[in-house]
Amino acid sequence: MPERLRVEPSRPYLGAASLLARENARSEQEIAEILLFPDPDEREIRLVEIDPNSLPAGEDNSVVPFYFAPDPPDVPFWMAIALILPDEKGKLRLPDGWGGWEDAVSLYP
Amino acid sequence: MQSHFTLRKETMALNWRRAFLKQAISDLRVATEMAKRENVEDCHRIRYLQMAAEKFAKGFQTSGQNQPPTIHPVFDRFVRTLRNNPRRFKGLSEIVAAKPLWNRTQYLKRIVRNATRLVNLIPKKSGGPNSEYPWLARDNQGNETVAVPCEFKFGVPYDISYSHLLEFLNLCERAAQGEII
Repeated sequence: MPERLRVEPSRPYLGAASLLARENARSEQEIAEILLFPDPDEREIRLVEIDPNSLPAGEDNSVVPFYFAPDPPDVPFWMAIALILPDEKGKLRLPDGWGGWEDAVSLYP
Repeated sequence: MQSHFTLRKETMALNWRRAFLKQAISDLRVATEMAKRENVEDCHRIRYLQMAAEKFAKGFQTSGQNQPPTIHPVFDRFVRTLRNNPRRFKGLSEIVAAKPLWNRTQYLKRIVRNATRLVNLIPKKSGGPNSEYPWLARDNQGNETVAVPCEFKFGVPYDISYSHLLEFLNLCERAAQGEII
């Protein structure tokens, strides 16, 4: 099987994603981890937040993100944010186009 | 050059977010009217709040191109996501910025608590108190009876702060208004 090409996120994209992750970790201090699933087109910042106060996944066992409109100048990208429980990490189905769990980049802690 | 089919498909697909948010705003107007009226049973007030709340949450479940997932309910999940990300949601960001940290945390916790209570009263297969369908219950003597939503007093532990939820749904409307014009 051919190896998938990985494109490094640009600095503005990674900077906005890191800012968002820092803000969210400050808002909810029980967040254990924040993962970024880089969008190759850099249209969306895709975050999965591992939060013990989240709700269990539904019957379809998938990650369910909510989408927030771009908030320039700090975050000029769509934001897709999903909360999961610690024991769901690596097990739930990711949304189409997000790649696999192995593509995640840790932004927090 | 794009084919007619592709263009039409994209145009329609881009409307999912707008459509859900627009319907949510309409539902919220009715919920607001219901909350003002004195001769309306609690179950109806709750029902319209649920309808508006779920549609806002579903609207924010898509960036527009795809139909939101059919998972139901999602409002409490949405509110928990906002609790983590309040600064990037118009209206909520201003409220949060104006409050000291302790008050901000309490405010967001209260929204989550009310959202959970509201979602718990959505009809479920398992039965029990809800805003719409009669359910099997027990009276004060322990005898089986059928409870009716329009007669039921939604007190503790089902107590919902209408004004607090309406205030929060008005924030959702504010965030949505900028997108649907």
